[in-house]
Amino acid sequence: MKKVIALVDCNNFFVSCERVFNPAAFRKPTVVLSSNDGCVISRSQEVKDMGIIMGMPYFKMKKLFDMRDVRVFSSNFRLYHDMSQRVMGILQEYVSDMEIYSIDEAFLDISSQEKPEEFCTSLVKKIYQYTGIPVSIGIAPTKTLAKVANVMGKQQQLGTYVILDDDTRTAILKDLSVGKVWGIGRKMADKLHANGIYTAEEFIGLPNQWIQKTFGIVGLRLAHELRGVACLKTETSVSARKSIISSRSFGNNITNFETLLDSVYSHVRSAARQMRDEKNTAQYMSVSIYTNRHAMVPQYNTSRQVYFDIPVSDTFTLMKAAKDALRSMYKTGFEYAKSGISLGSFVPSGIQQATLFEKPRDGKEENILMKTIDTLHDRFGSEIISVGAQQKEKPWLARNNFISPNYTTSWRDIVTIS
Amino acid sequence: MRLFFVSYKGDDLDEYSIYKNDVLVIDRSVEAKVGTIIVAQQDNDFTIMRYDAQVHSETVLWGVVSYVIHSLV
Repeated sequence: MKKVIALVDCNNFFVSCERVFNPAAFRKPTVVLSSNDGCVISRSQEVKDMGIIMGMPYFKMKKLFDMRDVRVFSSNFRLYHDMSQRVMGILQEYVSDMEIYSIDEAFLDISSQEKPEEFCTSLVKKIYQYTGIPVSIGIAPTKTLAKVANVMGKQQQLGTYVILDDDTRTAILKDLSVGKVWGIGRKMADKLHANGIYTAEEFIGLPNQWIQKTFGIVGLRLAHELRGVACLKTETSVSARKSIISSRSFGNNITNFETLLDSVYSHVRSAARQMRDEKNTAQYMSVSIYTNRHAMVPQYNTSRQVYFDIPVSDTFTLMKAAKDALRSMYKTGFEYAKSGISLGSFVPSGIQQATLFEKPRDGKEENILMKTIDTLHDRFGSEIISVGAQQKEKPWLARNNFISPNYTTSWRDIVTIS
Repeated sequence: MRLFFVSYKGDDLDEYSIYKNDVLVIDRSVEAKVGTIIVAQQDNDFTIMRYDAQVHSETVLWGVVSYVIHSLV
């Protein structure tokens, strides 16, 4: 059976979330700023039309924003996370094979749908009605083409965009610059340009051998995907790049808090290390503890979510948050069999760096320290030095002057009408 | 989850049985019919009204008020 993949992407997701609860921002130019009100990370169509690009520092834009009456919001990840779960929850009801790719994107395998476009059009309508979030859906035989279709749909402001027949695909790839293809980075694009390859069509016309020799199997897969041959499966679990999970069952069950905490700490250390290696910072952490569900023992399986106003990469802060989370859910009298943590809602550490110097206390000391510790671990193994439990409360002074209330997750923050 | 909660702080709306400090349960999966009490976006604000199916470009349906929670203390 021929594969049909749909990529659902929420339009201007953070801005759209804010607009659901702020009628004053509805149909008005609107932006959301990164943590600490550093730079623009989400723009409404009106703002895009003004020529304002992603990542522009807020302080440079402030005058223009005032002049053009742009609605400005600090980022409220708790709100975005909840709205994301609502959107994904609706998709999950209709599609069993689904990969949540990021906070605002999901791939669906809709091969079994007889009328994929009609099905997706009804999804777009349903999601908008149920959540207030506008989405667009790209439909194609592969993930890479679904991504292309999604971008085309957004450009033409269509809810759905289909690239299922060969003629459509050829016509689109002819006009698609190769650097714009999902998965083709700057380096690869430069190399292709150097060889006189500028469009996606030219790229897929290259001999497989040359592509594989030059870009490896990853490059070859991309070419196949663009030709309509699916090579990338939908990963039902959250993609590794979007969250890092560390969890393990214990050799022997654990009953006391300190030992359980130790296990959680070791997960924090390894997940945080992996995250730093990938040059990310987390805005979200979840800590989970489990009893053995296959044994006839009293069951207690639970987790706590922690949201960070400023994205975190250092092990200290994560450990402290993990300890608080564990303390709030730990109960005596259970035999715990497994613990785990996951880190998510990543922000590349570079983006955050742009705002570092604006803060009264910028966490640079932690960064240097963590780098040193990571280096020592590399050189002498992870036992040589370790991050202890105690860490003084940090005077983080997050700047989020325009943050909206937690309309959907905090009872005292719900919308008021008078 | 299609539910949103809204706190009503305005004057009593006897005709809708909505009173000051009530919490409104908005179920966005319920289709609005003529006469249904809805929350709408109007003039940069939220407002409560009866749905009348006519298209007003300045009034946008936000959700149907499906229940009202009324405090007894």
